[in-house]
Amino acid sequence: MTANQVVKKNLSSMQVLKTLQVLLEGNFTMNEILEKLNSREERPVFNNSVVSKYINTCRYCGISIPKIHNRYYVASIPFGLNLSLAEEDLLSEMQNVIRNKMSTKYNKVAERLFEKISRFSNKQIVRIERKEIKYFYEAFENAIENHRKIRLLLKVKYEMECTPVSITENKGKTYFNVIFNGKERFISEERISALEVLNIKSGDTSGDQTVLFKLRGDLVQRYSLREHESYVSKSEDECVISNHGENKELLFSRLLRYDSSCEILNPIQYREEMKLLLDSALNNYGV
Amino acid sequence: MFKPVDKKDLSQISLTGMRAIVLIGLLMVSPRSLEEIRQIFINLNIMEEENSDDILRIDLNTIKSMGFEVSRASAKTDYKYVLLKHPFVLEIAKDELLVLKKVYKIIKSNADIQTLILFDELVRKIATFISDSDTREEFLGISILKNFDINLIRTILSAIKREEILDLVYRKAGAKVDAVKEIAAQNLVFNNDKIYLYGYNLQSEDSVVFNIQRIKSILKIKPKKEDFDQKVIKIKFHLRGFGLDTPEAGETVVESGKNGFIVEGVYHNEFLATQRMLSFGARCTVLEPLDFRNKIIAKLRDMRTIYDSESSC
Repeated sequence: MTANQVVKKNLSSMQVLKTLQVLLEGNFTMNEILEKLNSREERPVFNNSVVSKYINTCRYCGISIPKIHNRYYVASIPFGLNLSLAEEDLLSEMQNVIRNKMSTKYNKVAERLFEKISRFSNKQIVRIERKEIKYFYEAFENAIENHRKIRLLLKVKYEMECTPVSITENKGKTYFNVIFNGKERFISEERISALEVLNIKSGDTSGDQTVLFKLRGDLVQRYSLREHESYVSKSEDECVISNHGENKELLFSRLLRYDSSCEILNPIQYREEMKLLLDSALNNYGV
Repeated sequence: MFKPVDKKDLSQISLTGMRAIVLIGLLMVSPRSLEEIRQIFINLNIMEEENSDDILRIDLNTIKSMGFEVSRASAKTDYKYVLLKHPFVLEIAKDELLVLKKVYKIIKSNADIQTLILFDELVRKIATFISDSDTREEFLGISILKNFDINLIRTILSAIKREEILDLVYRKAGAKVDAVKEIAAQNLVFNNDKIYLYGYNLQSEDSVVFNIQRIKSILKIKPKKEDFDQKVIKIKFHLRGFGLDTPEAGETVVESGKNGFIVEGVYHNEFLATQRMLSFGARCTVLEPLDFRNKIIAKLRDMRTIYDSESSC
């Protein structure tokens, strides 16, 4: 193409596409859409009447653009992300998990994310309203953040004044990890009926504990680090791994599987606990 | 995907705008030749039979000027226009990635392989709309299967369903050479972010567990065999409580009382059974068989001996 050859384009098509792009950026009133569109032009070319026509054009093409509380937004695009029924179900499951197991803060972020994904998909992802918020997830997280003690009321009418450490997932179940009477306890979510954040400062918790353990033999090559682990040292047949903040019960259970190929080095308290645990296990057999 | 234009609606819409959107929609679904686009446009009443192809070329130029990258229709592309890149950009914020990671971790803790594959496919689909390469990589990394060979997993799953025999190339951890194994594929298990193939080795006549990331390739898929007698190990044990654990497939609680449970478990091989018993720590006492009980006692003794000396750290 020579320099003076002009590539022919269709101006009105471009304006329709520009309108669609703005709508894909978020939920806007007509004035906000006009402001955004005209700010990207040398002179204002968009007005209420043409933009309404362009929105209608998009709708005619099957793009769902509802107007709620005077705000327009793209709810779905027929040629966007082609979600299968199974994928839609998975997204619903994810929304359920967020609704039931995460705090309001995370729910708000998730709502924003699912709205964005919906905009680019061929199906409108139904937003699940949080009818029954489990407030103790939120309260528990706040208590950890603000170093406060909590009082847990269990369904068996038992009260525990304890220090919150972390929320753990294992095999689809949620556990509240707390320090109670100096010992780490894992309380299943199903056992809790109420939670109260107390105005009492909590001390340090063992949730931040770093554990060093040594592996020997074949396991050194087979082992793959978890997300909270790093190598302190590694040779062909021996390595030392630093594990940070893993739930103690789960960590002990996992390290026990490695039998004599594994040794806890630090902290001394964990090493002593493992010793006692093995003594107790041997005691089961009268040894 | 699109409905034909009713002439009476023309005053409310932009016909050229509709052509641009339809063109984008068609190219987003699959590559198209000029003739295919022309025919679809005519069927949708957004182009007349007598119009020249120049209209379509202008439409293509229009979408290109809006940031859509479209290849030339050449012999290499079977004379079809291919959409290489589009400006519909999904921006994922850091806090949104964090929530996705958290929710995936929860789902993963109790998911089967099919769910993990489904999640991986969903993540890959969504990632095509993320333009920032760092964010896209981090987003793809949420799925544990990012670095797995999904086709290999699918082949094994299909073999398990049909009870087929696989000739596969496997390299054991620490081994310097590959080995060819003849395996009756029985189950795929997700554990600790790894996927294991449980099967029966027809050469060594033994149950095996392979980390599938160590399977280099599948050489042959053969029909099922009926004539092998798989050995399993049956263990009876007393468990004072499952703790954070739950019964696994093959484990049956045969008695429960104040002091815990009597469980009977059927395990694929002795190594897995040993690991399972040890993981319960002091909550577990193996009752039967006696030789396995003695092996567990010996293991516990060996483990305890390690702690007799002072830690070197």
